[in-house]
Amino acid sequence: MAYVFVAVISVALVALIAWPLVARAGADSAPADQLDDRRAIEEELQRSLDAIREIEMDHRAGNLSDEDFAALDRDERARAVELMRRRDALSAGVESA
Amino acid sequence: MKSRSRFAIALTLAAVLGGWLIWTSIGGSLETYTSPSGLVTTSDGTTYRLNGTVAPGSPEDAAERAQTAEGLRFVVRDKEDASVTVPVVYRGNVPDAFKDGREIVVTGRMENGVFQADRGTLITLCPSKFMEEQAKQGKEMPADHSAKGTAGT
Amino acid sequence: MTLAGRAALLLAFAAALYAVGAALYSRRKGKREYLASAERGVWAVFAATTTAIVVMWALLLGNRFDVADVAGYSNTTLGWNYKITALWGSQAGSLLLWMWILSIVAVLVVVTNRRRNRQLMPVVVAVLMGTAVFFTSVLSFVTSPFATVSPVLEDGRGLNPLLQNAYMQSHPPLLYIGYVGLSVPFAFAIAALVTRRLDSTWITSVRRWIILSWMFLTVGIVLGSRWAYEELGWGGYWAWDPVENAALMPWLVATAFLHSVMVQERRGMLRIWNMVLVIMTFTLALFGTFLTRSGILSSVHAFGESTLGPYFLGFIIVILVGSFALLFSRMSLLRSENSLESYISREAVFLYNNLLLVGLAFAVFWGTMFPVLTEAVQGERITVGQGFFNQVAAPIGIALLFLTGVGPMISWRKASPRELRRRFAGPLVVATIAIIPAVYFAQEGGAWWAAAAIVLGAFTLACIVSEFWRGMKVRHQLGGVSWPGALGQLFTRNRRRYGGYVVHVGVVSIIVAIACQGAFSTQGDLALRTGQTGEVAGYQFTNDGGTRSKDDHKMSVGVALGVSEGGNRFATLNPGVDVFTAQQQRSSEVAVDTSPFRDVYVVLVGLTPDGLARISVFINPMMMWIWVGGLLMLVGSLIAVWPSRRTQGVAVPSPAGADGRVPE
Repeated sequence: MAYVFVAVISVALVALIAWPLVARAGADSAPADQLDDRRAIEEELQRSLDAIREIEMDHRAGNLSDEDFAALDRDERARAVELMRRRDALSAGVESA
Repeated sequence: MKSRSRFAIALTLAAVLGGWLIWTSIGGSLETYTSPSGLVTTSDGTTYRLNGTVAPGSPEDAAERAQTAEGLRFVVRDKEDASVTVPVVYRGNVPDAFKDGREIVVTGRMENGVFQADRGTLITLCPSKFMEEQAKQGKEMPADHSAKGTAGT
Repeated sequence: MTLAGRAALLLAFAAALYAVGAALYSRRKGKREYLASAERGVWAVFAATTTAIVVMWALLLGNRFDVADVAGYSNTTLGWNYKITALWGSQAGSLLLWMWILSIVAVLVVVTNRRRNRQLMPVVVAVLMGTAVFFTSVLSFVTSPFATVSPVLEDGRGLNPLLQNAYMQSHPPLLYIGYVGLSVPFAFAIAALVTRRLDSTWITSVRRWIILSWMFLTVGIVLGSRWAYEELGWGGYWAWDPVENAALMPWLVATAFLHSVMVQERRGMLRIWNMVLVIMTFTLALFGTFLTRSGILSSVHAFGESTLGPYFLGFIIVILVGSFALLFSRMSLLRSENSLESYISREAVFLYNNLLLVGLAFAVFWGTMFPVLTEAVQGERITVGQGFFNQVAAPIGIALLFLTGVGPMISWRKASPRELRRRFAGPLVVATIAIIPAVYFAQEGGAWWAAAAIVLGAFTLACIVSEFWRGMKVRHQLGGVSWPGALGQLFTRNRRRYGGYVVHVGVVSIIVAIACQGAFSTQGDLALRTGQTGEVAGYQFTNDGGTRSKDDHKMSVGVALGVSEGGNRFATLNPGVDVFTAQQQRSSEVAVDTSPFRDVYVVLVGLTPDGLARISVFINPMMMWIWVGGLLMLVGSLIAVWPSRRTQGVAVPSPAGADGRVPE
């Protein structure tokens, strides 16, 4: 009885694992990677925007001096702009593919 | 680059401070592990951590005796050579797991052939039950280390 | 059924092995489908391991005493809830638990990354499944939970009564979840190194895993201490025992890692250091598991004879050597983007925080392994006593307490002296006021560390409160929300930061409580006849009568104690001792009266037939705040890790030349 059980499970697992190899959807990896990169940039952009907001809050709360705020704000906004540019470039690239 | 040196300075300072702290802390707290066999030869007053098993015949009311002025008296056997024993006098908290045959560790020093234990330093090392079975069959297995009681995981 | 269990573990082993190979093979061009197959392999490992653990539970619940680990840790009279948790009483059983948790974690990683990190996933799967290969091979070939025993006895030995409580049921699984969780950041770090994708993507993908693992480790360690306090009856909760240290070390390094990743995210610094930290965190988690399960701490010789020791050590060495070799080869890609501009900046504070935490972990490691080293080198086992650990930990704890307050209030890059004067004025006033009671107490007890802890604790608490206050003020003015609303907004809009502040409050609570209990606790022994009263440290204890009872399982004695202070009776405590007949095992039932200021902790040492009760009394100041602190750390990390909705946008000039508003 135990042997039957074991045999059934083994077969089921092998089938589970082998399915993608047999079915061979054969998807091209390039778009998947690009989607990956785009998602990564979106997330980084969102983090950058959150950071800009937090810097502003810190300044209002008195945690940052005016000079420090100006410097950090400028840097972070520049980063955000750069990320937006890269995101737009990537979108254009995907659409044209 | 200036910042490389800042990093390096901070790290070096930390290492120096840390090393100094560890060095001074080790100073007073080193204790040598020994078994009854090791104690037979010494009686120079050095503090030892005595490791061995409780010989049969230890008092039933061990915990209560350890509270009294006379203290708890029991005999510790060498793990490897059961014929070598040391009498111990102990006062303080006695872990629940203490009984005949249990492996214990207690800190103290030899005085006139009797091991005078420091207060509250008695620890039982509790072998898992499976191991006791194996030991009976003559096999060796590792002991689960525990402090002042039993840990089972 | 044991055959089914063994087969399930072998299947898990085979599936894990396949998954490693398939995942790595999928990195070749045109072999993408192998990654899907490898991820299904992860599911297969989960299915097979779950089958094995279910079989084991069935054996336990079915009283199958022909199985060694059932006979050794269960018996017919054990409640079903303890039969289930007896699984992790045995060595093989606890490894099976570890493996099962790993299989669940791996599935979660696969599921949450279905559409992300596709470049990293092959190596992530390979690393996680590589670890699974190790555990399943040990479980299949070295120490099997399904090993049988003969002759078969009629009844098992049962579970040690000291383990029959909720703490010991939950402590190992919680700790293991923490350990296993730390394999995920490690896997992603290795993946980032291998694929050379060393931007902060791998870090942000694992941020939640880091905090969650840390949370489970924290809860596991605190529960372990609580168990020791309640069950072991020596008045304390932490003895720097090797198995305690084994869990503390990964926790310390994980805490350091938690903080230093923020430096990498914000300033692109400490990238090599973060790699080192994540490798060390995972290695210490494995080491912690190994330390508790091998014999190396009893003796180097026991280690050699131990079945598990060499395998674990080998695996750890492979991981260390492999990871560091990989790191070394990618070193040039890990240069910092920015530099340390000032010794007084948030980056610097995080650096000091890291040095303190890692330094303490190193000291604990050194102290724990000292006997092993001296035995190997000199033949003599020399231990460092608790004094070593306490002496090293105290100044480090005090310094960390200070940094906890100062860190969040110092800005990135560089803090100007004028800023500092303004920011810290309030907290410094609070700290100065706190000096008075602190010095007063220290005079009584002579413990300056405790005084420092009280003063710095007040300072840090004031800092945290002022952070909340300023944040609330800004939101209140900006959005016209009410004060409670402003507080709520702080938590919803910036979970990581304010959740972190709640954790910090917990840290303050714990450190101050530890210092106070350590410095000011008192102890006394009393021998009281019925009706007699004795005094310890200003508390009077009256023996109201002893009790004796006996049933099939155990013999119990107890005493009712009236507790008074200054003549006013405020509690009745009932400490007792049970002796379990089956195992000849004695278990103390400690009685504790808790108030915010102190615990009155009483142990019944013995009750003579003529009614003389010997008790041991401990007065532990501030004990409650250790557990409160643990709870706050749990709540704070839950807040930090809770998913938040994307909130409103910020005006940023867009290269597309639009009006500049980012959509909400």
